[in-house]
Amino acid sequence: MMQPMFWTMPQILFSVFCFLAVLFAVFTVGSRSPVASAFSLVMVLFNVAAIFAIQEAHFAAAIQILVYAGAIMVLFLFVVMLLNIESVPLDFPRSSFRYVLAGLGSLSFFGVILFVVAEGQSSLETDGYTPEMIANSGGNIRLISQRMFSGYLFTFEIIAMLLLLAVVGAIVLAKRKVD
Amino acid sequence: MAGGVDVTTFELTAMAIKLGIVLLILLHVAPIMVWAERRICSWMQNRTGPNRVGPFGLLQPLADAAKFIFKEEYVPAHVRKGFYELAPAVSIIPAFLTFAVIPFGPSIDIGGNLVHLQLADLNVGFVYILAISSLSVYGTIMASWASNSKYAMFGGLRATAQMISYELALGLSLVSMIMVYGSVSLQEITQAQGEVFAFFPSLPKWGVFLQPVAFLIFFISIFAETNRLPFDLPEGEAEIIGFHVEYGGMKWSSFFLAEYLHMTTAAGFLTAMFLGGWQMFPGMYTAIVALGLEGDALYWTMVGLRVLSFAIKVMVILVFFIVVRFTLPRFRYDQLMHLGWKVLVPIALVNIVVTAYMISFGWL
Repeated sequence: MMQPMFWTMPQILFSVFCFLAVLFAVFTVGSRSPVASAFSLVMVLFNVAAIFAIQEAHFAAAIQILVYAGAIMVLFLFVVMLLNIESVPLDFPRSSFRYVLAGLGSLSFFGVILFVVAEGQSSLETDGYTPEMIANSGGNIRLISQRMFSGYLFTFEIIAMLLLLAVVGAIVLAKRKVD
Repeated sequence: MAGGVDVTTFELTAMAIKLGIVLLILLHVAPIMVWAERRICSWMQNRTGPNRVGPFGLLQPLADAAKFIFKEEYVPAHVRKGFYELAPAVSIIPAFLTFAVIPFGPSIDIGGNLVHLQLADLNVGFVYILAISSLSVYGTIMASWASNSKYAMFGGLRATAQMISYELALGLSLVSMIMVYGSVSLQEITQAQGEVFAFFPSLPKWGVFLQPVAFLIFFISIFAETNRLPFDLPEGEAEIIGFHVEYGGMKWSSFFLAEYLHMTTAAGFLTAMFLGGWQMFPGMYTAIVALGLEGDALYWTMVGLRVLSFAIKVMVILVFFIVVRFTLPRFRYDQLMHLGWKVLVPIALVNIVVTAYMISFGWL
């Protein structure tokens, strides 16, 4: 176990951002106003990006903010604001069947996470990717692009194709409504 | 992010001094820009402009700021209170953060210690600027939604759609720059721009000469990203009413502080990317060699001239922002979207392919 008295700076920052991420996650679920929920989700994503940055994964952090916080959440907010839902009434009866099911579901998911954390066998080996090695070979972006366009080229192309299909599909669906 | 790395007192002091200087300059940009904007505007329109307060009216921004601060902090009754108060802060914070990775000078040697004239040389380089400035749209969204008013809402929707659309063209124009320089670090990119063309040695290898198309797309996009005329539909101060219509006093002016900060960062970004950053203007080096400086004197003169070159380039771009504002009329919204999606994005994509061919043939 770690000695709580001798926490280094990254460890303190890590705990702070983890705490904030969880706090805003609770706001996201608990807030009555959908827009407030969405703003809290932005804060969750931002704090997760900060955690990435503490782990020296600057590129993952930047992309997390650029793509999730900067683009996807803006669209979320757009939709929520255009629908103009003021606040969601909390009128589920507490004994309702759905309530119990939801509780069971989230409890069992929590159990799975606990189990994985306690009993997990996956090694934390980084395949030789230490911060020094990454810095020596030209930084995160260079390494990621090299892997992406060599070993993972096929996967990369398939994902690109899939996204293109999704775009075309969205346009077709939207156009049918307009016409 | 000091990931367990030992930080010496010297580095800490250097960091604090750099941080102080950059923050001071950024804070002073907005008032000076407001003054410049009004003076240049009146000069272009053949009027006098503010010239009563202080020499050349230079103290006018101070008077304005005092007025804003002493104005009643009026909060309309129909707004969503918490978010209404938060929105100006949300729009200012990313504006202050983005300047961190822009190099305003070379690395200097102070008694054997290297000091980089740049707040943070992250290994994600300018991707950081794109990431943080993509957050600035939340200030606008939050303000427009919290105002709980139709006009503010429409202004906010216009602003959001515009910022997202032009972010795309901006990012694509930068892709070809990454391909040319093989790096995302602005310090490395600036250094690479110090070379000269083999066939015409007095022309430096600045980004604008290597990638003129990318430069144009980037330049147009930053006008849209900073909500400046001819793309100022999010604000439209006098005519179409923007997202900040329910704001007054200092809260209102903080949106404009954020806008001027974004302009400064955009100008710095453009300078580092396309105009050679802190590289001296052609001819400066010959001039100081002709002066016969040597050793330390030569070294520090060069450092000074490099920082000065950076500052001059940024200022020229900022003045250009103002001149454009009082020259071009505002775009209609469909024209704006047309330009962004059907003109700039396709050109940027073609530019990437052409650049790729040129690199593979060894022409770049």
